[in-house]
Amino acid sequence: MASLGAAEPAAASSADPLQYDLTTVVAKSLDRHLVFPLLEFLSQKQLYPAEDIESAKLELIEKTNMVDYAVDIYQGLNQTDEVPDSLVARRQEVVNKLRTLEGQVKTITDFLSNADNVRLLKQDKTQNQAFLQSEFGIGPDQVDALYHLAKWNFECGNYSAAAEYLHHYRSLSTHPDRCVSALWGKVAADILLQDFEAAMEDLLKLKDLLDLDTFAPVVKQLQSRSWLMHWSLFVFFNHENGMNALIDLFLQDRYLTALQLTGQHLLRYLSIAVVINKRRRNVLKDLVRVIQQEQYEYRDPITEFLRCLFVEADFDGAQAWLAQCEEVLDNDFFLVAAKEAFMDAARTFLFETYCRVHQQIDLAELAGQLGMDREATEKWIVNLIRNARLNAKIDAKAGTVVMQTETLGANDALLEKARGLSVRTFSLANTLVGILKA
Amino acid sequence: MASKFWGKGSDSEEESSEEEETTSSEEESSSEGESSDSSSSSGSSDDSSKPKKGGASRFLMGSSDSESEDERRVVKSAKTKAVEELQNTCNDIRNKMNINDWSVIQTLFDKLNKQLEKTMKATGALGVPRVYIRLLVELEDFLAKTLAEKPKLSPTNTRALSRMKQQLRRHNAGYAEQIAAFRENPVSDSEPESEAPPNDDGKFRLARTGVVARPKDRVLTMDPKEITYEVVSKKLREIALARGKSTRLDRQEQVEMLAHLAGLARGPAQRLQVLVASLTVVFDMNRPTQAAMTPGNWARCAATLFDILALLEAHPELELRLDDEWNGSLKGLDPHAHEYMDRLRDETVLLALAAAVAQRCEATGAFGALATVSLRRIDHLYHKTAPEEEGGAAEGFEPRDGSAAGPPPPVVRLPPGFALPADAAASLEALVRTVYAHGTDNQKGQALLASVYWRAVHDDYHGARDLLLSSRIQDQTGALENRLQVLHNRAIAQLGLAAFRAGLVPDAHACLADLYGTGRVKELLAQGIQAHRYAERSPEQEAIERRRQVPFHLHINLELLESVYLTSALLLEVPHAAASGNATLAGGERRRPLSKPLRRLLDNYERQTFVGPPENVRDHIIAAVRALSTGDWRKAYGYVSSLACWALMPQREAVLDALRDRFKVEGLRTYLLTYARYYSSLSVAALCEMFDLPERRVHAVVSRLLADEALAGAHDQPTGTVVVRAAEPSRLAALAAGFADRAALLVDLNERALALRTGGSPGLCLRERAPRHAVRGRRSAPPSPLSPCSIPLSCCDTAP
Repeated sequence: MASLGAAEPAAASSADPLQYDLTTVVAKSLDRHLVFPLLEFLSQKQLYPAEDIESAKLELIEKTNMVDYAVDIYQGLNQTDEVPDSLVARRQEVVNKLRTLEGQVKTITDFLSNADNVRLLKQDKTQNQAFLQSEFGIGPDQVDALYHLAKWNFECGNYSAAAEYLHHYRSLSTHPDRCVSALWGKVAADILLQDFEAAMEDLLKLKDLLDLDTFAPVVKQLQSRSWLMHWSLFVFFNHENGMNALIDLFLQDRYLTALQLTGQHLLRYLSIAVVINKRRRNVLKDLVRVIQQEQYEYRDPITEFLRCLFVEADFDGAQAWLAQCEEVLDNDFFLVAAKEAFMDAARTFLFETYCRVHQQIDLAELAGQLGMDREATEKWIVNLIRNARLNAKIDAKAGTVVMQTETLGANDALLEKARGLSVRTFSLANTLVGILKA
Repeated sequence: MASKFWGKGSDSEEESSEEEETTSSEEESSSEGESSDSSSSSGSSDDSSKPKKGGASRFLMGSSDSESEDERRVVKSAKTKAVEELQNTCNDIRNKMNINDWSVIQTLFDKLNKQLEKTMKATGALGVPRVYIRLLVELEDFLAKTLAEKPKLSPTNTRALSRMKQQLRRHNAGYAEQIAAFRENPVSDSEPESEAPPNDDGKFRLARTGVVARPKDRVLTMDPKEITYEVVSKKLREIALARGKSTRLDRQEQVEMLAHLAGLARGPAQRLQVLVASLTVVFDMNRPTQAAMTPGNWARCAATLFDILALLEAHPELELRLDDEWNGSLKGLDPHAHEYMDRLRDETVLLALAAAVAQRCEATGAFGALATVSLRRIDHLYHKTAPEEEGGAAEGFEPRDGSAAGPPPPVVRLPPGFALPADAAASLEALVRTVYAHGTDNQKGQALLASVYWRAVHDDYHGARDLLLSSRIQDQTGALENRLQVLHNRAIAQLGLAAFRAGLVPDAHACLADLYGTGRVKELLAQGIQAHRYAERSPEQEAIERRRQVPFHLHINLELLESVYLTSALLLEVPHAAASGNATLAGGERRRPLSKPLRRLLDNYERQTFVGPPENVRDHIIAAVRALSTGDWRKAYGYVSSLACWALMPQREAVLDALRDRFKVEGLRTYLLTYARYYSSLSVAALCEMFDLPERRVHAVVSRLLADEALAGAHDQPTGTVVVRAAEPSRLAALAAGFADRAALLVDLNERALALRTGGSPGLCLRERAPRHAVRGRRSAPPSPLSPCSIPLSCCDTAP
């Protein structure tokens, strides 16, 4: 099912707003059908000439079975009502194939349409196989046909049917490789149906399956991990707990390696998830390290922002990059929804770090740094102080923010060090006594 | 005895003159040389019948052997002298044996052993001189005889005798083989009292060419028309039969003969046969483990191979050996002599040859051989930088007439139309791919390392590093061949240089740190043998090491490498030391130095009473360290940039500019870390001026220090200052903090002790010091696995 490798032939990006457009890169690791939403998005944004996008779509579609759609696009593109002969013939072919396949799986579909029958199936797949063979005359051939039918349906754009067939196929088939690709297909179908709950579930299943397969050639493992990460973007940025899951997935050793080897651009998504997700500050250090390592291969405003802030401590630079981030996020299919959250969180990040190294800040200067006017800045800071996120006071007369810092005196430092020593000694003694008694 | 002595003297004289001849000229080609050879050989053939006379006289044309030699025997090489001394001592021992004076024998024997070492060093020989072995045998026999006869001896002598017995037994065990060999064949060897230590090639050639007394072969003088197929094949068979039968065969003559035959051969098949035979003979002529082929022979081989290839017969094995010879001959030559450059020019010929062979292999589908040949070509290309490539390419077009000077070695004509590939990068890439596709694991590894080296030389640091890391070859450096280990180390050294050129100082340091950590850089890079203070090496080991050396034109400049390493170490170490000084003051633990070699240098320096102005690289670096640690970046940069070796660095200006910038920043950091605590506030503007940096940079550097909590303080934006909060801890506070640390350590140790006893952690909160994150992924691993592999001496491949 994983008929991948559809490269998007859209115009190469060289103009400035397109400099950070990842669509072409991302599309390389997506299924053809998954590229459509990206193209739709691009055409809305009007970053590329409309004809380019339409012809790219047509090229994509020609390899699928969505003939009707192809005809529409063709007509729109060429401003005609004619239908090219090749497409007519193709349509006939597709319909015929569909009919044949449906005929082949008739027994199974009949069987499955009856809910009582489904309940008869057991956990054990081999047992089921024998059972189906003897009771209903359903052999491996039919099950295979089910797989092909699902694929054919998927190619036709009939995703719900495909998802259903694949679900059943997975419960019947004993073919390990096919099961994996069926799962890929299921995930794709779920995504295209916008059923993100199911997609998330299937995605995790798929991940488990891939993780089990440690004997596959290293290259293949890397590739499937890279695909998985790309596909997961659809899910994670649309799921309520997606950011967390994204961080978990991407920062796993194996996936991080895959990311560093084959998909450095994914760092953008990881960075954004980390910045937005305030509870996961602890992974920031790891992230910054990876960004630093990969900066010679990949950099965009988001990673540069983090690097300036946490590596260089260059606040002006960070500020400049942050301003660019807005545009980048605006033009990214996955991130557009997360823009507000990101900008807000990033600003807080910047400000917090800034405050940590200052004891008095000029409000006007700060407003410039944060890219807000003075009024809004003041309000914003008051809010921060009220939420106990910032230990500071505003000196309205001088127009400054004064940080309230407490320094650790020598005495406190000493107490800090000595604290816990006695507790540890006690527990040590207790263990010792316990051991002696035993 | 006297005759022996004279014999020896004259002999060595002959040798040295002969040596000169061979190095300056080719094999004897002039008629004069030949005639003298043949006459001297006739003398020597008589000689073997009367061994007493001494071998030397065989070189003299039957004339009186002393006077004329005597006058000329003024100039003696150290080598000759050493051999002579050895001989004298041997004779002394023999004298003492006659009078049974064992205590003197014993002292003399010790002296002899010492001399032996010296001799070996002087002659650079591999084996032990035969004279010495002979003496050992004699001593052994005599000892046995004395013990059996039990003559009356003085107490001192008896003691000496028994001690000698033990000593000799122990000693001779080490030479068991040679002794056995000697005993087996005493007759032939007993004659040349003065015979050369067997490894002196000059002598050997002389012996070889001199001994055989054969009248000019009939075939050579025959009229070409009379020669038939049968005659040629008969002669050929004769030569083939002679192969390996006797070492005294005149190979040179054979070669001449074969060359002659090749011209006369009937039909291509026979011609081919003759050519191959002549190759074998030429290869037999020298011993592959020691001396290289002479340039003349080399050129002859190359020409022959071209001929063979022209005859559509490729033989990669032979080609390979030829290449080894080429390298060997480079090693044998003086790096600065003209000849060295001349030989380097032959590289083009070799590459042309290899290209032709590769084509042939591809055509015949011999992919294993193809990989081997490709690897050879990579070997000759991977180290070239851009200007060298251009030079090489130009060379390719030039007609080769480098033979104008000196006696004519057969000139090898390049096949028409051969030019070095213009796009070296692409061609190297293609070759590497060929090896990946067809080579063995070892070959692949070599190709990979060569490719890493190439990229590093061409400033593609990241590409090279990624290639190296993703190959995972570093995990198995221990299992690699020595040759590959050396290549690996060389690649890493280049990687370090590339990183430095790219301004990645920490990376450069990480690459080179392990190389310098051992203090055996020369050895790791196979660019010379370092004298070891403690480990004594046997001559065999030394010879093996010498063979492992990389030829001069491949050397990485050690001075540059050292400067790069020490400079990067300095840039990292000085701020680090300042921070660590701070921490110590605050009662924390003292941090370990980042670069031990630099630290060691500094410690040594501080121990000196008087110090002069800096002279070498290390002095300069130390001066820079001292300047930088007070924050005086100008002076520090001045010291470092005045090093002469930067001239060797490509893009010198850019690199030095980056370095200057780096010095400013590190100077600022050091200054802040060292002196900030004496201020209550510092003006950013003043810092800008002091360190010649824009305000933004200063702000960033200070912010970084503040954010990392290396510096306690804060910016005060309205006044443009840095407010320092850190108060100097009082003596009491510092002591108390130190005490608290110790207490914590004690508890720690207690917990650990208990855990050790009970096995594992029994519910105790053991504070593990292990890093939270294990090494992650390929690139997340710090570049420290770029460690060089040391070459253990024990696993040296003993040459056949």
